[in-house]
Order: sequence, then C-alpha cells, then structure tokens
Amino acid sequence: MGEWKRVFLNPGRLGILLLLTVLSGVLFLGSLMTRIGPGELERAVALGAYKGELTERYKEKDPEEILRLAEAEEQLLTDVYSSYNHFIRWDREGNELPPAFSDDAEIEAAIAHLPYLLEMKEDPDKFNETLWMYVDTLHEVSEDAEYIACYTDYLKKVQKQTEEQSKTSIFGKKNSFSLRNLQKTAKEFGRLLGLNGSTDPVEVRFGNNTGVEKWLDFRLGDYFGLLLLTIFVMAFLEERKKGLWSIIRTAKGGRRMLGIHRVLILLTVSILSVLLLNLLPLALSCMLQGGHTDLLRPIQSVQSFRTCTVRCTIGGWIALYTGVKILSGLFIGLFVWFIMGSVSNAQLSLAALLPVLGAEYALFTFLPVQSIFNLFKYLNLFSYVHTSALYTEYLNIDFFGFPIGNRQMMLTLLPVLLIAFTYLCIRMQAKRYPEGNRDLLSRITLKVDTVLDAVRRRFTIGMWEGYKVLFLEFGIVILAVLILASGSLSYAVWTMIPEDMRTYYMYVRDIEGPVGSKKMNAGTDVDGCTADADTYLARARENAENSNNPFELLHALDMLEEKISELREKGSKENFEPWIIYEPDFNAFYGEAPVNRQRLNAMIAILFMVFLCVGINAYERQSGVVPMLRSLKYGRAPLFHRKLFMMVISAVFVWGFVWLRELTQYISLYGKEILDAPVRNLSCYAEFPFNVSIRGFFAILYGTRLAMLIPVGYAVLCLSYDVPNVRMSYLLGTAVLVIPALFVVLGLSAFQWVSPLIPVSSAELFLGLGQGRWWCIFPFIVWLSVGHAALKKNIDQSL
Amino acid sequence: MRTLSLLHVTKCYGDLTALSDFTMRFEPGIYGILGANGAGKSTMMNLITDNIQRDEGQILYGKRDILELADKFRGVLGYMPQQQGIYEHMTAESFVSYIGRLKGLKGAELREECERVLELTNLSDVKHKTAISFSGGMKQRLLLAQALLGEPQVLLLDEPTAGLDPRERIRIRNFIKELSKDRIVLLATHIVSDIESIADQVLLMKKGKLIKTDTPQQLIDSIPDSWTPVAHYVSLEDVYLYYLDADSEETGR
Repeated sequence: MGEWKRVFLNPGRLGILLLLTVLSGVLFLGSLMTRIGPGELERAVALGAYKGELTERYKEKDPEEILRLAEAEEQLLTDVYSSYNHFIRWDREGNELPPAFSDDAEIEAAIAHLPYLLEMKEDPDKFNETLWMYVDTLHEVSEDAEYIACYTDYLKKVQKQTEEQSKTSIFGKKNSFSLRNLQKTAKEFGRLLGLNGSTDPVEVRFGNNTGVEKWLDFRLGDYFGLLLLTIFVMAFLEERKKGLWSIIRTAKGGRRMLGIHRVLILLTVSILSVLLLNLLPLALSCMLQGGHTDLLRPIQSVQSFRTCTVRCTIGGWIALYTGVKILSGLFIGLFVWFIMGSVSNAQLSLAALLPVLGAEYALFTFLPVQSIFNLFKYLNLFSYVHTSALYTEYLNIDFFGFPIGNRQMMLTLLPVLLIAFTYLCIRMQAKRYPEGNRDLLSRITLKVDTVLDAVRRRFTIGMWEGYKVLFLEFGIVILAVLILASGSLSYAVWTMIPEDMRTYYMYVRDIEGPVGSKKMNAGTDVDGCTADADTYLARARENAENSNNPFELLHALDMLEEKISELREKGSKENFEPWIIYEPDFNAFYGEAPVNRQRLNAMIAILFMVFLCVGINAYERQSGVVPMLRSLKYGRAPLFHRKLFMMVISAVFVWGFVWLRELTQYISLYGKEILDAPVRNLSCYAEFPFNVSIRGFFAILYGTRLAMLIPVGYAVLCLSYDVPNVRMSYLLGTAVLVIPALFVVLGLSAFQWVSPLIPVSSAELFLGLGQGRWWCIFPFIVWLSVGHAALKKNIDQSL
Repeated sequence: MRTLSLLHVTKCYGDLTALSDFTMRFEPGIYGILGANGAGKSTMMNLITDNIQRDEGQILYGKRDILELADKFRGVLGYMPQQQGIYEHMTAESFVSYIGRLKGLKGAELREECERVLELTNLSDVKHKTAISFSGGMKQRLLLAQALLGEPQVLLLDEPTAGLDPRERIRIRNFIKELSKDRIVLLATHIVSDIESIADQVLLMKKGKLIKTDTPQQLIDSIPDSWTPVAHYVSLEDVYLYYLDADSEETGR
C-alpha cells in the first residue's frame, strides 16, 4: 500500500490530475463553441438544444419528409432575417415588395419556438449571427437525414464497386492483395447488409448524434491521457533521481512485488484517465448537445461510423470503447515505463522517451496511407492513443499479400503486447541493477557534452542566460509549442454584410482608394479606365439607370455619395486625405467583431510569456546558487541586465509569433496599398487621437502590444523571485496572470481590473480611442504602473 | 596587502541576535572559525558577501566600506557557500566557465583558470559530466573550484571539506594552506582537525559573539590543567568543548 499512497497521494500528481481533468473539460467546452467569448457557451447549448428538439420532432418521419420540413424551417428563418433587418426589395417595376413579417410582434410569433434567438432580438449583430447559426444547424439535420436515407445505397454501392473492380485487370489479379482486399471489404460490408444470411441488415435510424460526433472530434483528451500516464511513470523513476534505487532494491518487496504493484497502479491510472479525460467530456457533450437518449440505435447511425463494420448499438460501442481504451492506456503506460526505465540515468529517461514518441507520432501522422511502409503508420503507439479511430476508419493493411484489418490487427495484438510488456517491466523492476552511466544514452550524452563544452566555454554572460532559458529551463520546448500553437491562431472574424448594404459595398470595393485622386483604382467596372470619385459616381449612376435593377443600385450610390462628401468635409477640417476604404476587411481584423479573438490571442501571449520567463529567476533559486552568484563581481547588476534582456527577447518572440502573424496575414490578404490611407477615414477609428496613416496606426498598435508584454515579463520575474522552485513559479505565474486573463476571455469582466489582458490585447483600447473614449487609456496606465512597480521590486531584489 | 575589518557589526533576525557587536581585523592568513550551529559563522560570511544587510557597524576592505566598493570588492572575493547550490544540469566545466564569466574572466585566461581549478580539485577527469551525477564530495569540490577561480584575495569557505574522503580533505587542506600566503582565508567548519593543522588564528564564536581568538597552540595552552582531555592529549577539540560547550558556562569552566 505504501507505493500506492506515495504515487497517488502526492500533491503535485494529484494537482496535475485535477488540472488535466479541468483543462480537458474546459477545452472540450471551448471546442463546442463557434468562438471563445462571453455568452458563446450559452449559444452552443441553445443550438444543441435546438438540434435535439428538431431530432425529437423528426424522429419518426422518413428522411424525405425530414428534408422537406427542414427546408420549410430554413425559409421561415430567412424571412425572419429579411423582415428583422427591414430589407427593402423591389420588383422589376420598382415597386417595394411587402416584408414576410410586417412588425415585431409577427417576428416574435414566428420565432417563439426559438427562445434563445428571441432573447437576442435587441442586439441586431448577435441576432443576425445567431440566426445563421440556427440555419447551419438545420443544414446539419438535413445532412443527417440524407445520410440515413442513403446508407443502404452506400453499402450496396460498395458491393457493386468491388464486383466491378474485381473484373478489371488491375484489381482482379488472382492471389493479389488488391483482389483479396476487395473480397474482404465486400464480405465485411455485406454482413451489414445481411448478405451472409445469418444476420439481419443493419437498420440505421435518424436521431441526435451531436453529443457523440462533437466528442469524437475532440482528440486532446487522448493526448492528456498519454501525458498523465507519463507523469505517473515518472513517479516510478523518482527513486533513481533521489538516490534511493539501491535502498528500494534491498527492501523485501522492492523488486518483483513492487513491479506487480506498479503495473496495477498503471491500470488504475488508465481507468482514471479514461473516466476523467475521455468519458467525462462525452458525458458533458451528451448533456449539452443531446443524444444520450438515442444510444440504442446501431452505431452506423452516426455518420462518423459509416465505415465501421462492428455490429453494435451506440451505447454498446461506448462500453466496448471504454474497455479497449483502458487496456490501451495500460499498454501505453507499460511502453513508456519500459523505455524510460531502460535508461539508468533518471535525468536522461525523458530524453530517451521523447524521440521514440516523436518518431511514432511522425509515422502515424505523416506516413501516407498508400506507402508500402504503411504498416508502421497503423502498427503504432498512437493507434492505441486514438482508439476511436480504429472504429471510424476502415482500412486493410497489406501483410505479405494478405489484407489485415487495421482494427482486427491492433485489437488482436493488444493482449499479446500487454502480456509481453507486463513481463518486461516487472523483469526490469526486479532484475535491473542500479548502475550509473553505463548505458548507451549516457555514453552518447558524455560525448556530446565533451564537444559542447568546447563551445560553451566561449559563452558570454548573456549567452549563458540564453542557454539557461532555452536548454536548462526547457525554453526551446516552450518555443516549439509556441510556434506550433501560433500556426493555429486565428485573427479575423468576418461579419455578414447586411443584404441592403451589399450593393453599396460592391461600389466601395470598386473605388477603394484616395477620393478625388487619379490614383484611385476605381472605374474599371464602369468604363474600363481610372477616374476620380465624382466621375465614377456620375458614370455609375448612368449605368445604374440603364440596368434591370436601378432602384437598388441608385440607393447604394446615394449612400456612397454621402460617405464621400462626409469624408471630404472631415478630411479638410482635420487635415487628412479622404480615402474610400472597404471597411469589412479591415474590421474583420481590427474592428469590434474580433475583440474576443484578440483577447484570446492576448491570453495565449501572456501564457507563453509566463512559461518562457518563470525559469529566469526561479531556476537559480531552485538550484540554490543565489548567494554564490550575488558574491560574484558580475553577479548582480550585469546578470540582472542579461536576465532582463532575455525576458525582452522572449517578449519579442511571443509578440512575433502571436501578433506579427496577424499583420502579415492581413497584408497578405489585402495588400499594402491601403496602408497609406489615413486611419481617420475608418468609421471605427474616426476619432483616433493621432492623425496618422493606417501604417502609422499599425506601428502604434503593434508597438503598444510589445510594450505591454514587457511589464508582463517584469511581473513574472518579480513573482518568481520569492518562490523556492520552478514548479511553484509556473503555478504562481499561471494563477496570477493567466487564470484572470482566461476569466476575462470567458466573459467575467470583473477580472479585467486584475489582469493585463486588455492592455496586452490593446485592440479594444484603440477602438475606444478611435471612437473618442479617451478614458480607455486608463487600463494602460494601471498596467504600466504595475509593471513599473514590478521592475522596481526586481531591481531591489537583484541588486 | 589590504585587510578586511569588521567593526562593531551587528545583525538581528527579529528578536534573535545572530551577530552582536562583532569586531575583528583580518590580515592575510587562514582564520579558522569555530562555533556551534547558530553561533553566527554563516551570518558573518553572508554579511561579508553582502547577501544580508547588516543592522549596525562597518565592514572595511582596506579603508573603504565593502558596500561602497561593491563590484570592486566582489572582484577580489571567492565564496564557497555551505549549501551545495549548483546548476546540476550543467557539466563541471560549463559550471566553472559560467562562474568564471561572472567573475570577469575571459578568453584564454578563463580557459586556463577553469582547467587549473578543476585540476586542483581533482575534477578534470569528470569535467564533461553533468553535476547531477556527482557524489556529495564531488559537488563539494566543484563548489570549491568555483570559489578559487580568478585567485581571489579574500576567500570565504563555509565547510569546504564536509563530505570529502580523508585523502581529498588533506589535499584540499594543504592547498588552502598554500593559498593563504598572500590572501585572507576565512574557514568555517565543524571539522576541528582541519583548522588545527592549517589555521594561523582561530575565532571562537558563540551566540553571535566572538568569545576568544588566538593561534591554535595558544588556545590549547590556555586550557587549565584540571581539564580532562577528550583524547590522551589536549587538542583543539578540547578548546572547542571547553569554550563553546553549553555546559561550560554553567559549570564555570
């Protein structure tokens, strides 16, 4: 029991288990939302409930009827949209067409069955956006109905295709893999059609699959499981790190019995991992998105299981999955333990595991399915990490000319691997001698260090600090994660252009450029030559009057003329050149709509700043070298300055990967031409305090973001100075800087006063300034003051 | 040659007086500091290295206060702390190179110094190994190696021979003895025999106060004949017990 207590009652490990559970739940909820932000979860739940209600309503109907009903519902929503936005339509004679719903009361009655949408009625942007999400949900329902209608045809098509292909010379070659593969596929899919005579055909039924489908898309839980198992395996190696290996080995139960206990501990961790990291999100998903009452339908009723050849219900599959996942988890744990335990030097055990996992992942992810080595893609540790894929992806592997089902192969091998690795791990625990530095990896490390020492002895103090951050404090891993994570960051949120504005924006797009200048790229649609705004307007009016739809076009041109004169007047008054700018593009990146996206990105920037900088001070304290360093000639001010430099470099990296990508994305999408336009031409920056071009505005915005990240660095250095170890520093930095930022992102606005999120994001502050709300500068001042105080404390602590 | 003087130095931690009105002038030579745990030995070293702030008094190097000299004083200082604080994931050579840089050494001088101190502390053979694989004694030698870098004029050694085997201890002891010819060495230790064989002068400290200072022989001679020695002859260990043992005060020895 001692080992169980030691492993499971360790506060650090318990904390990680709790953290991963919470993180997995939160990230899963995040994955349900269209985007992160206040009210988004509520919206996702409302849409899930709508889908559940539709499914319940359509359940007993045949698919054609479902499609018809969904189409009618979509028409209703489109009519609500037009009436709500007061779109004016004209017939060919120029008469206004009456709206589908003449007043608010009629609109409310039409959407009475959609209470969430009704609640949004006072906020046009949210109402319109949500309405189209309801339409998307209807599309999903239609797709499900279509899938159900076509499933039997799909199975028959597979039979027909195999029959036809086996007659061709390429596939039909006798004793070839291709022919055997076709025959095996036909046989297995034939069983679903009941062709073998002993079973009835599978009867897929329409129902709510959202809970299961959304959960299947969430793969992070699988990676968290791998991480959790690795952390618990590391607990088995603690005795080596702490120099207790020999003592443990001399204890009565310190060999084989300890090995057996550890295998059982891994089994327990695997069960916990499946329950907390996989089944909990599934339960959440079914609770919020529905589907838990429809678990008795055949698993093939869920679109993702179209090619699954196992005959069971959805509920049965979940039970099967749970069992396989637990055993897979145990195998993963044993595999990780075997690799890490094979290296005597506990410090190198992780270094031994990472390349193995990296290679397995690379093979699993990047090896093409058609490759002759595809066996390595599927006979892979990650096939056991992502167990659900064994059921959702049908594949036969060429094994010396014989097709072997990927699922059958992995499930048959699983007990064999479990027995083999259980034996190997217990044997390793019982027999391995605690000898140091005699394994291959240690010898290689010594050789590498001999070479590196020749380089390192030339390091300056600054280079040493860089080396410590990158290699001793794992900054290089954090940077790699930052680079990977930044690749999936998104910046723009495009809002739908109201129908009555589309023609107006068409003209705006056409004449985008400086008003009244020949530079304008305008007029090409009108008469094939460049022109100034007035000429353009005159010619556009002429063309509009001769068109089929003159009223709509002339209405849009009136709006454009008004805008041009407004800009001319403002430009002459405030001394800037008036430009016509296609604002939806700019607003998608820097307007009101992406504010939450900017906040989320700012939170990620803060998170990486914390992770990159906590070690700068904390690693010294953890190593206990502070008194010694402080007694050295350059151990105070010069060392402190190098640390600050490293922090600034970290900030520049974070800024570059998180924010500069936004700028490059914007420029690559819309070009550099617009950068010369004065920023005050834009509606949302009309009152911007500085009369600068958009280029200048970008310089201020991105400069401010970098400048606001640096006080985050000061705060991290300050927080980590008084903490005894790096782990505590991570926790403290996360608790003080990241968690409040996360709360702000999730809509708990009270936390914005204790978080640097708003200044780091900067976007909404500039928007506020752009609209004359000068008091928006206040959070900047607060945060700069906090940063200044942190720097002062840093100086006091370090000098 | 400059001297190091502590003049009426006092340091309190709340109600506890760690060092009380301590006055001493150090000239080149080895000073063995003896005292029980909490006697103020490490506090004194921390005050000299300015790792803690003094409450009262002055610490002069030559004629100027060390706080005023700041970097200049730290440039002549070599400090080996009691705790084995090392960057364990650095190799021995990397660690001394890093400390050497922070001592202001560069280029060939740094390389030669690193080789010299690693040789001196018998770590040359393992200089490319990471310190995490080192035994306690090896870590101790690595700490001593970094303190010796740059030939410091003032060397503060807090328990330098703790954890070393007898051969290593004698080697290091002899080396310290050689060093002391032209520099000030302050040696705090519990291993009385180390001090007995190499110290020019011994400082006996108790409860933050300097209670006696003299050469080892004179201290031994100062013990009354009535005292029953620990071994067959009176040694510095008897001096320790006579002057510093808690009971001695009560029994009026």
